[in-house]
Amino acid sequence: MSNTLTEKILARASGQNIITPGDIVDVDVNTAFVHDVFISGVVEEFSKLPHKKVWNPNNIVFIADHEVPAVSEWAGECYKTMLRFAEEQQIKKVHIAEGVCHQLIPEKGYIGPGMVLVGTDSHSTTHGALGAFASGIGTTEMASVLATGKIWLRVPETIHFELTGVLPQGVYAKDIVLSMLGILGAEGANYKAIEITGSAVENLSIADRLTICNMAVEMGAKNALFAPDEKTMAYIQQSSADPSFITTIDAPQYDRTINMHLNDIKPMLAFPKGVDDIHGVDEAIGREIHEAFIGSCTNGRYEDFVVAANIIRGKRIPKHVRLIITPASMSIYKRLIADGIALDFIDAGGMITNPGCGLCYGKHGGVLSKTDVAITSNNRNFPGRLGHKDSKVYLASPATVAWSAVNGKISDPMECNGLL
Amino acid sequence: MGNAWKFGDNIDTDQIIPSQYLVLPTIKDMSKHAMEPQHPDFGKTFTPGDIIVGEVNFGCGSSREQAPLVLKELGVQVIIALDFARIFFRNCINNGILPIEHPCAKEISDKDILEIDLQNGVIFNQNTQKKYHFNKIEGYLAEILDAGGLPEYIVKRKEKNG
Repeated sequence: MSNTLTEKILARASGQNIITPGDIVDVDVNTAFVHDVFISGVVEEFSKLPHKKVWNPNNIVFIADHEVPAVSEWAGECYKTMLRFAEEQQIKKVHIAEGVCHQLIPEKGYIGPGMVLVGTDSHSTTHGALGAFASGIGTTEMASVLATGKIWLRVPETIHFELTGVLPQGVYAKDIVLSMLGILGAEGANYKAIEITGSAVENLSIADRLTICNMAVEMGAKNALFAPDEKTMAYIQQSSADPSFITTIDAPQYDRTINMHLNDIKPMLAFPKGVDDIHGVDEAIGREIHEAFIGSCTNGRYEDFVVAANIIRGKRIPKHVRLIITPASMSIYKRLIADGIALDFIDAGGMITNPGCGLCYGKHGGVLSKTDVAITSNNRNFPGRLGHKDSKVYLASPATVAWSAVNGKISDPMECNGLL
Repeated sequence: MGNAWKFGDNIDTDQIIPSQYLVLPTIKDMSKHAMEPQHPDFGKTFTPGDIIVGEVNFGCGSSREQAPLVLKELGVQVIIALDFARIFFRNCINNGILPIEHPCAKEISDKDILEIDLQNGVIFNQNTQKKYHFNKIEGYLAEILDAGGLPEYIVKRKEKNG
């Protein structure tokens, strides 16, 4: 019996030869990151510990992305706390308002295959897209990681998705992960790992894999990953990530295997009740919308905007819809400007915001009113998450959001002619 | 002994402490708004010793540690649920709150009076007269809980090991 990728990574990182699900292991962390909302809490908890210095400043990343530009009188203090602690501890990897953590970390080469990452953000599962073990933790736990470089983890059982076939035109990685949520539900992968393999994986871009791993936490997963392949190698060569931890799999023993044939998947929505209230787009056709959002750590990547721009280019968004575009990083933003895609959105009547997380957690940049209905490309639609508790949010792929924005109502992207 | 505050499935961290209150200066200030979307008076009327009871996937959503911290501030020592979201589970342990996973959560109603015997791992529902046994947390996690949380545990361990 061979080990899963998660087991192999945790075995290597804990210095064990063999580990099995249920074991508690003490794991060496390769990358630990903290974002602006929780930096004060982490620094305060760190001050209670006997350690004066962090374990290794080169393995620590600080990113201000949730509260940029400042959304309150408090935010400015968070940046200062971040910069002060970084200077005291000689932490050099500090990024203020350069992008969303789950885009910057892969882009800057802070994560590579086989590495262990923990972050003070629940969507840290994203980084499994590059074949890493990556999971979210709280602030007290992070203070302990910064001090010791270690974290205890229970070796999780693994749920396996075997993907075959090819996605139909108009159907994207977001529709795959929404379909997975439909199968497992919001708690279906609690405490568990998710591993995604199969003949369809080689056709999924790194952006697609980041989208899928990002929403694994919505199923309760501890982590989710794709085994590294040629696409992973090409990506980390460009990002200059450390290739020395690469781990591969060989016919492992999974807790449960779920087969998904991509040809059968259609454009999906999470209805406003919650992330696992999954339906086909065809069940909501014609529902009037007031806000359409393309962005976030789920779907704010260059590839997402190319798809959306091909749908929106040359059209005009109806007056009752606010179209909001939020690139996930400044480098994506710059590409959108250089390629003219930014103009496609502006000319259609859209707004482009700076990279950040504000809208996705209802803080700024698109807060919803009581009677608003929104269709968004992000990952959560908990009641009140994006604004008023009675507002309604449908989660969808960037293509579904873009085509719905053009029509002013929820629409099926398979009926749009502009798709790549 | 305390009253049960019964909640349903998938109580996410935006229900436990909505993001607009994360900017308040102290956990005490935030705690007045705990569970507000579910129960507007929760923060004002929860009495130390009362017990939160959820069903499936309690504490899902963001990693915000303010979620267990506001509950701890109000005097929550124990949360019973069918199961917990994993980050919230760890955050509870790391802050000295005992998360009890138990199918009895399904049988407990709002305002039932519960007695919890932590030493012997027993939950007793006075209203239904039903008694349930739960597995006590052991090993490393028990040491963190006994110390009162993770920072306290690390300090103790460092003192012990030098």
